[in-house]
Amino acid sequence: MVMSFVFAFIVGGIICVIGQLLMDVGKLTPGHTLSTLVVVGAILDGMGLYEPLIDFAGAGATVPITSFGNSLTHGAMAEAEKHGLVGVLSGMFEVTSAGISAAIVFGFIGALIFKPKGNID
Amino acid sequence: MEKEQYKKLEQNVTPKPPYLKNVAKAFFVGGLICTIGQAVSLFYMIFFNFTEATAGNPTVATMVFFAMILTGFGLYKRIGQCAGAGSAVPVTGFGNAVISAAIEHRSEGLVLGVGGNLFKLAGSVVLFGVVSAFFVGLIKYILVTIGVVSW
Amino acid sequence: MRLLGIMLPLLVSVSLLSSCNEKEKFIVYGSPDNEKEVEAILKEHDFVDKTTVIQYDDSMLVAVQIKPWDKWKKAKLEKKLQKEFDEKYPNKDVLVSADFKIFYEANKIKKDKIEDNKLNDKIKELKELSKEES
Repeated sequence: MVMSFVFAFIVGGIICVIGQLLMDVGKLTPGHTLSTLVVVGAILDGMGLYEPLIDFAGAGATVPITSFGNSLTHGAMAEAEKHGLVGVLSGMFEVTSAGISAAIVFGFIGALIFKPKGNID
Repeated sequence: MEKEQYKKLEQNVTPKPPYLKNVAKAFFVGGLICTIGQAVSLFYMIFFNFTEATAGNPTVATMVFFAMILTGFGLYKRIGQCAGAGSAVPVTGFGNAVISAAIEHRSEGLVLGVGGNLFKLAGSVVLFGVVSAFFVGLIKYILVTIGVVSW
Repeated sequence: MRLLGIMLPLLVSVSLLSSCNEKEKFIVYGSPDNEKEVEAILKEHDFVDKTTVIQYDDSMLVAVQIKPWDKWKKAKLEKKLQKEFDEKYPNKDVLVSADFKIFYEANKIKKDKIEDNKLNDKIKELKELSKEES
């Protein structure tokens, strides 16, 4: 039980370190870095490597932005298996992408209740 | 020529980022956010009917909710200033980017302000996520059809 | 005298509870009396950390927890155990799951001592749950 937290911490930290190195050493902007990480997540899932990482590290692999790439690809491949080529397009947001929807919804709600510069309306 | 000279001058004068410190901060804050995510996952598995496989969805949604609270009170900015990638890489960073853009442009109205600017910072993430998922899916489909790999 | 009357049962229960943690890593609960067999299959594998088996007649639910370092291969190990159980009990409807939720619920079933029809329903419920994809 405790180990699940330790692994979540370590793997999550490592993914963030990779992001930090991309920004510091690679001189990428945050936008470039996050986009790169999402693509990496997608490729890793294509190779069947991201799901085992989730099994191992739990939230350490589902919380970083890389999991977006993974879940979009996972949905695309699952639908393609069932429904052929069109499944690649239709399946993407099917299995999951709660993160993107949540960000949109909470962004809207946040815009309604918060004032800029961080005061409650 | 001048451009080149200026670039070189800029590179020489710009202070180098403290690599080790940044990496350490990113590791700790990123790891901490993921650990909180793990606790949230466990919460959903124990008190609700989610399995390990399905708990990822509510966990991510909850983390974005936390990001909304922290962004709304201006606290996420401070975390970001000290933690760099540690606060940008987790999904909370994505949430913060979207939510802060929405809050900032509220004054321009919901449709043009919020709607038009919501994806200003996060659009590239969604774009490259979808496009890469498409190509990876396509390649995998082709490989399976040829018979090189199986699903 | 009174002190002894309080301390003795306390000491006994504490020692029982502490040994409980060690022994109760392999739990088999339910009607058929094949505890030894089932335990034998599972104990053979190093990667199994804890397991709770719930059964009612021909329906069996094997909830395992894989050791942390072996969790990379969780999906493969789960399939492996599923094959083994399918071969050993071809007449039964066995489901092997390495999911934490299933394990947690299986332990709750044992703790609450659910019986008979309710047990059968619960097993069915958990089997459905483990097949969900989102």
